Amino acid sequence: MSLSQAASNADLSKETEGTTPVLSLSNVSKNFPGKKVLKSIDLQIAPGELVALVGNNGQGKTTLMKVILGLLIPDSGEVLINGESATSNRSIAQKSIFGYLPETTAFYPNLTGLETLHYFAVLKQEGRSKVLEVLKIVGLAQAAQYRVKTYSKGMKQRLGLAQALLGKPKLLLLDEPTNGLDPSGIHEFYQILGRLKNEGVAILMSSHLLAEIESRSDALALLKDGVISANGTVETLIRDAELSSIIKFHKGANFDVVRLDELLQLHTTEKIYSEHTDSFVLTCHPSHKQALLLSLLSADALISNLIVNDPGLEELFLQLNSGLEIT
Amino acid sequence: MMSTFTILFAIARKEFVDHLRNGWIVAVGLAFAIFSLLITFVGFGFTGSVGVGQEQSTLFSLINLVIYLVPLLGLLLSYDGIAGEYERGTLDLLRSYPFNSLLLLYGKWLGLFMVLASTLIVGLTAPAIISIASGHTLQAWTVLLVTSVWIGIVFNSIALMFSVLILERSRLIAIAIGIWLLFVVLFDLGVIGLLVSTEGNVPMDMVNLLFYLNPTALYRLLSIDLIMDQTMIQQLGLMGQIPPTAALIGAFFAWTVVPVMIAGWRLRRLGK
Repeated sequence: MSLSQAASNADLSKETEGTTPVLSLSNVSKNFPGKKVLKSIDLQIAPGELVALVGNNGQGKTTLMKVILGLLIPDSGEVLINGESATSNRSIAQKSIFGYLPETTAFYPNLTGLETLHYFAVLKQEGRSKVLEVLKIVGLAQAAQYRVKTYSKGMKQRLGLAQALLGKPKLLLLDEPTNGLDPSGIHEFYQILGRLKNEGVAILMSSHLLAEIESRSDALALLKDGVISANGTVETLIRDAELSSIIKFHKGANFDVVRLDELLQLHTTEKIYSEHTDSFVLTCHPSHKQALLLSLLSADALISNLIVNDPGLEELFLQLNSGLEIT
Repeated sequence: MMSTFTILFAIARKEFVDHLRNGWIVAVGLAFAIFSLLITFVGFGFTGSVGVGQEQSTLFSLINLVIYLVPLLGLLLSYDGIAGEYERGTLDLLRSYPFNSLLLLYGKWLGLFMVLASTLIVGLTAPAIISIASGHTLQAWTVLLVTSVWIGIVFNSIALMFSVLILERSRLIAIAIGIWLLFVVLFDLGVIGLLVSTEGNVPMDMVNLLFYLNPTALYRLLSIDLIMDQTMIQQLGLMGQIPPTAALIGAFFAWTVVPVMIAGWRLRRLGK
């Protein structure tokens, strides 16, 4: 076999491995007495993929994570972990791929950070040397000798992340992981996630902080009323949602309101004038955006100080939650 | 197999360290020591001199002290055993860990056993030393310690069972006190009421059967059977009335194991 053949075979095997999702849910439902929390959930996560789970409070994000972990048994549907069925009680081998950070964990106030992690390490059958490593990763090495009752919320969150990293997880389930972290903590946290992604760790993370997720997640799953009402990359979802851009400008040297109205009429767009700032605001459908911008810019000194605000995850989230579903 | 024991002992050890650090063992142990020392000195005071009869009455008083205090200690120690983990968020976390969740229950039980045993060793050592230094036997004190730890463990098991069944600390504290009232106070009153209302026309077998329904009654009978001498048993009017030792130990054992089995069954079913 030539070197190039060997390389292409290696690529092929990598690709084959990559196509088996670490986690695959199909048609998963879970009811609580008097309430259907999850209705027919389909979700897949590939190795090295970061999927953000978003949705308002009480939409079933935590329940979904608990179903994946086997803490709740689904009423119907199938959960596959590494391609193997895991719908009822999880085997120890299936559990050992998880790293889980619950939404709130108080830990044990009388143990030190180091003792806490030693305890969790034994329970994950992990060596003590790994404890020091994860303490360093999450930036708790200095505080490891103090009791957990002296820790701030952010430090407890770091401790929670540290225990999730024990035992070489293949699938991290993080329930609102950046809660309580300061901005530099959030930055460090995503750096850690980035490294883990590169190592092939799949990550499912719930969060309310849309701005933070937008640039960092590979895919987004929006949970609403127990169903995933949107699933895909942030870019695709925004494009498919056909969300309007906001265009702002001031009057130009040759401003003429009749000319402007004619131009806007061509692009079926209406203007709002703000007396306070002496500026105009347009809400523009994406299909007209390019042509409208061209017209505005080519009209000689009709307008000035043009600003275009394209829709982001926040606008998408608000639209999806307002009931307009994307198919 | 090896890792199973490692996990079990890690959980037990954590439980013990937690109660050592929060001061439970020392504080409760010393409080118990003060009570038992008072009883020991009052016992000495009654007879004015050290004698066999005096040791017997001291031990009998201590058995009654244990009946009042140790079930309460067992209940208060364990009622939040699993519910506490649940409310802290660590129950779900540990259930997601790669080991059989039952080990969490068994490890807790073992750890709480160690806590209770240590507390009672702290509580009973001082009177035992005084008594043994006065020429009394070590054996009776050893038996008293073992049965006292055991009755505490029975209530650990009962409290852990409710801890898994209810998972809500605020309700569990009320349940713990209710269980103590039921077994330690109301049960005896009920039996006395039954005997009075029927003018004593209740078959002794039936009364004995009732005792099997109450672990503190079993403890009283077992301790009297194992510690008291014949004269004392006669004075108490129990000659020939105590069920066979093996039956008492068997019932005690069942009271220890069955609640843990029920807790385990429930723990396995969480999430269904």
